[in-house]
Amino acid sequence: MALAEIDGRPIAFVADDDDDDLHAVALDTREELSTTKLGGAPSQIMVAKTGRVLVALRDRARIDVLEVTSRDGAARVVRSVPTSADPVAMAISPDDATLLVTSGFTHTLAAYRFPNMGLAFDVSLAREPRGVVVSDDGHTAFVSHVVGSKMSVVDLARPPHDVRVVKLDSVKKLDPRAQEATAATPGDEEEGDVAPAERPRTACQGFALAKSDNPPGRILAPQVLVDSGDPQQQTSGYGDDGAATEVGSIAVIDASDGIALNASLRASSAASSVPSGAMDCVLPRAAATDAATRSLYVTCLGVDALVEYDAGAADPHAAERRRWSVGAGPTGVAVDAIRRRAYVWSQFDRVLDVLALDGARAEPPASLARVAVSRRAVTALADVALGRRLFHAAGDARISADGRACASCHPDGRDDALTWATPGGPRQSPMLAGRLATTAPYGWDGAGSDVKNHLTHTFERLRGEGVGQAGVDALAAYIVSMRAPDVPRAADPSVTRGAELFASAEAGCASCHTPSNGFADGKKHEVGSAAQADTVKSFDTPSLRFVGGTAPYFHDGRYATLRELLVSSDGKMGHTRHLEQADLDALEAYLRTL
Amino acid sequence: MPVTLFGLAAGVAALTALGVGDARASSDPFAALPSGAVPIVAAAAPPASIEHGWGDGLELRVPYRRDRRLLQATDGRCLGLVSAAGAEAASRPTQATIWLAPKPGVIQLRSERLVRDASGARLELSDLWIDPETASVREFFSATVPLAMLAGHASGFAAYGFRDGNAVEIVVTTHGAFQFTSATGELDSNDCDHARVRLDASVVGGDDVVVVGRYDEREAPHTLAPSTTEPDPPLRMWTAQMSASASRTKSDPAAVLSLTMRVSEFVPARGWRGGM
Repeated sequence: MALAEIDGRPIAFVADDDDDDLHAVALDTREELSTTKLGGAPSQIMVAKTGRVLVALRDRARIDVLEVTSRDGAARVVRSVPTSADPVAMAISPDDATLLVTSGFTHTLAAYRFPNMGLAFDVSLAREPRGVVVSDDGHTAFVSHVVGSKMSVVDLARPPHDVRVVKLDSVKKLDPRAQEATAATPGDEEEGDVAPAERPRTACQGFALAKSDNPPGRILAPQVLVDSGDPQQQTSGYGDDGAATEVGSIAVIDASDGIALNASLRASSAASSVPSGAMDCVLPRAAATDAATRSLYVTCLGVDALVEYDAGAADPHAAERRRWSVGAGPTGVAVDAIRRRAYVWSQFDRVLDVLALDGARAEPPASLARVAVSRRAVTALADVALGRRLFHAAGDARISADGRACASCHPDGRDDALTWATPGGPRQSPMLAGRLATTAPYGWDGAGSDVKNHLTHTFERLRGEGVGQAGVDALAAYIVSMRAPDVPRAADPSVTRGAELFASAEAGCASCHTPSNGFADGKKHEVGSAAQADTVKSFDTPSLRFVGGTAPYFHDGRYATLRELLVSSDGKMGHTRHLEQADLDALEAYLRTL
Repeated sequence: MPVTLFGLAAGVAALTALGVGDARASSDPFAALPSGAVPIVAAAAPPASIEHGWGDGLELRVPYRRDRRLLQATDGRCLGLVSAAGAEAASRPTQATIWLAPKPGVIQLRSERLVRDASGARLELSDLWIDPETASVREFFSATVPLAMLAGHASGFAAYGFRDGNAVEIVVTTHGAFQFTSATGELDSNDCDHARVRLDASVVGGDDVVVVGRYDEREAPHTLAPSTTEPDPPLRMWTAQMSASASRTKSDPAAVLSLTMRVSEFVPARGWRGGM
């Protein structure tokens, strides 16, 4: 969502990705003024200083530039700018000269120059980039990632626009005296902040990103620190039996040097800093700051809350000030610093909550007003709506005993890039969105004959109480309806050659990864891949749909990249090691189109 | 159609609201804190014996084991035995054990007391000689450190501080059952009426501490209530958490201090038998 004034009247523009609409809500009278049909599903909107409304259309791979045509906020498209597939977030440089766009599945950051919106440059990033903010001097972009414990720091000032990766794994705090002693030991500097006995947690759920103006120069990255357990061990559930699998965290990065404050990456304090009786924010989705009170606001999907933190804390997650209950599915937040209001858009309930930032502090703080936003009835599918709520329900005993949600391991219906310790051995989380049709059975061991059956078994392994048949039906309806990423399928000779290789008897890929069957064959095979903790040796053939964006590979995540898979798995499933470099490139290019 | 972005509000609000559930410190009190320092305990050669009588606020108790004495603070002060090397023992209990074997002797003790009165808050520090043979105590050094209030709650939970160079020392009231994360991230406990924690803003990556506890509003900390026939007032218990940190990025002209306090009434579950 984005705030603006039309002829001095405060307006909230809301991006509605259920109906592909742009809603304009008057903030003075708290009523919906207009709805503008968009050309696709919006992932983010911004208002440029020119007054134009920029909308990223995730399923259309483009940015639409809209001009507001009337006082009620109705708008029309005046320009469309093609982007890489899956545009998910935008930022405008401080000099208003450049629009930055991150694309999730195609993992890029692209820069477009105003006013003509020509592509200035683009760079490749790590998997699943999301939020993007620009440093005050405009020289650096910071990009969060949903998976992989990473933040990308991109040099905007000089070609070739180098990308540096900041690791956001958890660290263990040491006594300062011990830190000095450790740092003095030659060769140990890299591990100086990590105690050997504490397994580093992986950072996930990096959807939101905010830049602090008070104190200045801090990049605030809400995330979750995940302990997926020791994959060499069998456990009774998913992850370490004795540890909290997911704890909230807010990484703080010094914008001047791109270094994270270690205090913000400590899982031990994160676990103890949630108010008594409250659920941790394990699905953070949007963030905004307020310089006046040095506050960071984060919307938490699953617990349906807006949480205020001290943006000046070394570990903001440990400095929670208050939280508001808001409508279900809060995916957007904006702060009106002048009128001292925060606005939260909740997609599931389709409401805009109006929250007072100052004044009397009720306990718990309550919403001043809740504005309902209209819905096109034709798209209101009850089962899917219920399934979406269940999929994102955190702290729900029906789903899991430890509070994690389906969306914890399957953010955006995709995967967390983690390999979990399970009762059956190591299991890499599979992507769900767009992958389930015609690819039964489910689960690496192929035990789930259909989606509903697999869901029931998954709740058992998560020690959830179960959601009942109606819940399972709804979840299944939602999961199979989840929007798949838009994979680029450019006509390319290399891709054509790769398809030939894939289908060839010599390579032997298509004999199990059958194109007509979702690139799977519905069977289990023993390919010599059993790991030490595995209780079985045969595994279900995974679908190769979207395989280019789902690293790591194999049931235990042993191959970090597609190329490593092609080169190192030779003989386990077909033969690819013998291929020339050009053919390997072609085969990889083809796989990335699936 | 003129569409404009919202502007940014100017100025910084210093919020000191003390309502239930949220007690917020001012936005950055680091620079405004009074300067001070807790004097380092100096090991001194103990006298062979002292005959000085006993002082207020301390009791020397004889437990069932005759080879030791228990030194008990009755006014909530924190006690720390000082070793021969001068190192201060943990200054968080109200009780210290004095071993009489292999031979009794005069021992050195650091006493630290949080005083809150009309003139403000301060730490009163004393170095004492304790002679368990003669049951005598003699103060040989004292100092006072003024404190600034950082945040407080109507129930009495409060945090104070002072600045010591690049570090800030936080003094938080902890009467009741409290725990806090130590500098190593491990849990530590406390039973005197305050905890003093040091945050070093020069630590790369920031320094922080979390203090969590539960306390009883009815009882004054560590004082024995006079006998009375009046019925006890309703017991109200509170859970409190204070998170404090000091950090400095290259953009910060000075260290940024954060202090967040949360207090909520504790309603025991059925069958609750005490504890955190």
